Amino acid sequence: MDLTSAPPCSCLARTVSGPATWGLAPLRVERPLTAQAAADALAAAAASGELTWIVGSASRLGACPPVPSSAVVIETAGCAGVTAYEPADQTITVRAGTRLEDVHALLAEEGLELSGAHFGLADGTVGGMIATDLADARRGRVGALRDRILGMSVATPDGRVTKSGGRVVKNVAGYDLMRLHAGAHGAFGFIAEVTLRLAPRPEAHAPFERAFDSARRAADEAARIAREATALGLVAWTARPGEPTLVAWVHEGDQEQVDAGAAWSAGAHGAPQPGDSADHQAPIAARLRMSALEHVCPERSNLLVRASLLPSRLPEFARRLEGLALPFLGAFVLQGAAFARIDRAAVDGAATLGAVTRAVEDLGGAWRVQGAWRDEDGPIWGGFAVPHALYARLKAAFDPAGVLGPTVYRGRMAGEGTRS
Amino acid sequence: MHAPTTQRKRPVRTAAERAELALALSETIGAEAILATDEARLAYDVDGFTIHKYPPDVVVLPRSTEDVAAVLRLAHARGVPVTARGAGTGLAGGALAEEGGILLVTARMDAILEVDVPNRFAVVQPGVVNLHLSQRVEADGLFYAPDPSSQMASTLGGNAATNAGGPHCLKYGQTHQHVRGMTLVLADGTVVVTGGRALDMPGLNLTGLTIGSEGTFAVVTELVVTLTPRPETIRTFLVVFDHVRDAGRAVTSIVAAGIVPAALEMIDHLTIVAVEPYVHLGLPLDAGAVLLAELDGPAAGMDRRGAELQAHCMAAGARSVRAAKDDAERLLLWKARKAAFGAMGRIASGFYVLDGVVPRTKLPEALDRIAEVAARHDLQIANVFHAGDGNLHPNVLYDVDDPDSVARAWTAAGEILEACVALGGSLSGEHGIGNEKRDFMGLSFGEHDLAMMDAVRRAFDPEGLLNPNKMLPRRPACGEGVRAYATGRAGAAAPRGPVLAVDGEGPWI
Repeated sequence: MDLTSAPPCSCLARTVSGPATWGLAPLRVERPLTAQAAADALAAAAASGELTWIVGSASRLGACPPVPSSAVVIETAGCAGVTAYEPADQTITVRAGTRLEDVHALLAEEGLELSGAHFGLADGTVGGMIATDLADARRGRVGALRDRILGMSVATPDGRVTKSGGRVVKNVAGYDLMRLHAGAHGAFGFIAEVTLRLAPRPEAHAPFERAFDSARRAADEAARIAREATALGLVAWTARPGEPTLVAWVHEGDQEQVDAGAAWSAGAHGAPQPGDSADHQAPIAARLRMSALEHVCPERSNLLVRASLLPSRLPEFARRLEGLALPFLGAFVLQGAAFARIDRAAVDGAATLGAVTRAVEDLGGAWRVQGAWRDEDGPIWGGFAVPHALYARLKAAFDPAGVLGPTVYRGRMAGEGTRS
Repeated sequence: MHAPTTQRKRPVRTAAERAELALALSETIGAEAILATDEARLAYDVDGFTIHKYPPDVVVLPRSTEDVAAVLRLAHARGVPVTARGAGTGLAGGALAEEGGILLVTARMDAILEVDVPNRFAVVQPGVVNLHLSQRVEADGLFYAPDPSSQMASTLGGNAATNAGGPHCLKYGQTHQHVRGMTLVLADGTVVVTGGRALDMPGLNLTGLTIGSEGTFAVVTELVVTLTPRPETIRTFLVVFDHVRDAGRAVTSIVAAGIVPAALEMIDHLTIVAVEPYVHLGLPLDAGAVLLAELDGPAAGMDRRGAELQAHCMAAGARSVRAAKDDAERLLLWKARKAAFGAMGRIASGFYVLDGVVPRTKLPEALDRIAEVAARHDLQIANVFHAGDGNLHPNVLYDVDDPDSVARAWTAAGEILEACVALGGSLSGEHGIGNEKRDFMGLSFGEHDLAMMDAVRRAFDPEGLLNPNKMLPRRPACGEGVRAYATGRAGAAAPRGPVLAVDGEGPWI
């Protein structure tokens, strides 16, 4: 695989310079240094009715719900650093603005990892990773990062900092409010600090990769690998028009388990490929392509549909979308996560979005749209029944003024706007 | 933000009022689903936490989500509290109808609705017994991983309500990691579906939020649970130590080495003395502790991992290591652990099981503090614990016929929980808060933390009709201030009589 080939998007190599790149004109930017300072900033914004957008490193705004055009920006970068690290207890407490790569580097020294955290997200922050609830490629094997949250402190617009959970690996005292904040994109508060459960890094890896001439053939083979191979850490496929579809998979675990798994793969598909330690040994080419797939242009010219499907439906998903002009299509097979990118410059965005989301729903799945969503695109998510009244009551419990994450849940939760 | 829930007095319904409520429920979901005689009410006045007894006004046994929604609509219209109950095996009083009202028992909602082997999930009603699901999918090479020791009796709905764990949650995680979605009925009868069959569904994570809420948010009427491939190989070791501290060092050493055991269970000297005459395993009665360690997974590499585990134990000072040669011996070794609670009945007429958690590395310190508490109150305390994740189950032994002994046990239990929290731990690892520990919540959480939890509870159930007086501390009446509420044990009462005087196999911890 030629790793120097042109990136799939002209802006891919650009440095993300912050929320302004994504069309957000900040009313002001605040960078609180403590959780209480964050609570004070939220309270001030709520008192004046100013819409508020909480930002980590802004590395993944393209993977978030639409960014508002104007808001007070509150950055988590000032609340950074490791508060407590107990390798023997396999727990770490970090402030939300801590960069993921710093955490990964610290844990690697003790042979530990933060399973479920995106190893390819060097610039991402811990708080951002949790707030966006991005599932990484190994989610099917190691679980979701949100399930590794043991405790959390959150600043809310009433000027308070409240906590839930604790710092031990097993704890059922009190309501697990931290699980509500995971994936809420800051709509319920400013995640200030989290305690996370760690795990030993796998002893060995063996990455494999194979090219196919169509997405459906690749999806079929990926499904077979997921069924038959052992000691799998991830199985993914990515398709781009005019290029072979790549299937990538990694065996991981104890050395003997990896050897056994790799023997099966080598017999079926040839020699292992070089792995990329920046992404937990995923094959390099597939990893680069997957990163590109998730990329959304700052110019807001493209959309990304993230679909939640049963793994067995992924080959049919590939078949249904084969005729559409999608610049990228891909899936993490073990967890049934599929991705379809739509380029407005090339196709009718709304019509193509409709075709993709219909395919997802026909197959019993659910979806959400990220990136350059516009009002005329219709709902931002679908395939499941949204309990609007309950959402609205929850929102009011944390943010009665409705200023947090204004494009995330504000109107929709109350049944307002166009995306109910 | 709302203030924490104010304690309400238990309403007293007359026989005529109860009869009228039962009649209305009969007309709603059918007379065969209603139990309202005094005998039936008494049969449901207690769960596994036998200190308190509260007969419900009416017991209902629905069969479907529609039945549950109809019951809750009726109760909501009348302002009648509803407490959901699975098998009643909970050990924290979470299924007690403390305010009377309706006890909604899910026992008849016991259907496994769907099993999807390729995608590894099942859809079940809440009354399905935990072990029955694993038995159902055994032939497909799958199992349901959370395995509370009550799994032969406790239900999946109850497990979700308490976020149940079990010996093997050290490796596989607790219930919240194995539930993909749920169908909930809110207090007003609204049906809400959270999550789904696929992983990582869009929308708010209401599934994760609701699990562990002990029936105070909603009644669960359906669950989508993940099924896990059965391990190819299991290796089980029984390790004897002279000193419990050495066993603690072995646990730390094993985990630090990157070994992920399926289970790491420990029993202390007093428990060995109680259990050996019962199980006849040949456990030395002078041993300080026995560690039960289990590895599972692919056969490849298992021999090496087993040897490493044994080496860590020996390096920590183990007296002996016994490896199970086959499944029969494995089950025998587990009997030492599983029979521990039942065996307590051989050395005391009553015992009170606690459920504190400390950081794994603080286990030796926690055990020292428990010993201090035992000495100070002239009590015996036997320890059985999930050592791998720092979850202690101290058994405070007492004489059920001696009120002073009962009172000392109650005081000692409180001091042990306070010690766990002081060491950086938690009030509960798997049993839940219920009404047993609600007044201790101020030890772990501040007033504002609790107020936020209460606000979320009210978002689900604005009138506070679902399982009232559970989980959150009872706030003192107006004018009494919040100091006691914030520091624990406000209004807590000593046990009123015999507590957990059991024999045989139960209770299940």
